[in-house]
Amino acid sequence: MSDDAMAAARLSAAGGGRGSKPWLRVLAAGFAAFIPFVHAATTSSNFTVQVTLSSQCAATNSGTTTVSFGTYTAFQGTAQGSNSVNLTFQCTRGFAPVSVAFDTVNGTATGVGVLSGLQYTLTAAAPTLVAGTAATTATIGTGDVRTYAVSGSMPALQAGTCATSTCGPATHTRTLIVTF
Amino acid sequence: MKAFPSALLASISVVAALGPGEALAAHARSSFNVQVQLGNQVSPGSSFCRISDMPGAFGAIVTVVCSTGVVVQIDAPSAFSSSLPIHGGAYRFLPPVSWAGVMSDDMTAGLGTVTSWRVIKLADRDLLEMTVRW
Repeated sequence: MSDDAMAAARLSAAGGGRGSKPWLRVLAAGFAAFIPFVHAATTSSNFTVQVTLSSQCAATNSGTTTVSFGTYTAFQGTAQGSNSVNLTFQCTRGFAPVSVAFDTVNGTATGVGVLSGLQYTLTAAAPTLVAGTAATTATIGTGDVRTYAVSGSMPALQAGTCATSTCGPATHTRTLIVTF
Repeated sequence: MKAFPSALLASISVVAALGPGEALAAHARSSFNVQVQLGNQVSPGSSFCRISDMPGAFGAIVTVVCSTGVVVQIDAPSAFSSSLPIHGGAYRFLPPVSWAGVMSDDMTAGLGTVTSWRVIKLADRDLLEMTVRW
């Protein structure tokens, strides 16, 4: 390397200097301008992202709701209705449960039960659907929400079982089972 | 061709027997309470009527006093009708009687007199309970 070239390299490394020759500064700038273009290049490798989604439904009620028949007077001539409670389930978007039934612990799968010696029948209406939102690169989205309205009815003319003038309120627990 | 081990064949058979729906069946459960209050209470408008021992002969006049303070007079029976539902009159009817105490075809009818009754007032109906002597 000549003395001029070595001087230019030193000046380039030092950022130039006062009193250096103009043609050396131009040469140093030329080297600096060429360096990035020499190394700029890309390459790519493709791969597959895979997942198996297992669809699910989960009960989302917090706390226990109550189907209340109020006060039933023995031998009353009209059937006694109850309030309606909403039981909600969150499911995978687009995934519909295949059936619903009641527990068989305190009654039958069709909703019949006995409380204070009074027979009642529960009914689960067809569910209402609030569609979930799809996931995006910014959000994880939400599931479909299916709400079942459950209410009951007690037939008229029942005697009931009660040793005193009034019994209750008596309570037991039922469960709505969604099969998917 | 190699024979499959019997255990493997059995497993394949079980999987084949299960339909897709059965294999994926799962449950979600939501519990709730069912509640009722049973009332046997008779409304305040009801009354319980009592009488003293009936005399053994026809023609007597019996006074019935109800818990509400109402006095009802039961006159002597005057006819062999099955029922005379007249307020203040004699309540008589022909109850079926089986002398052996068994309900059977040889049952006869006996003349009876209502000795006490009570009206149970419920929410939407009244029940009449009667005691008959004959």
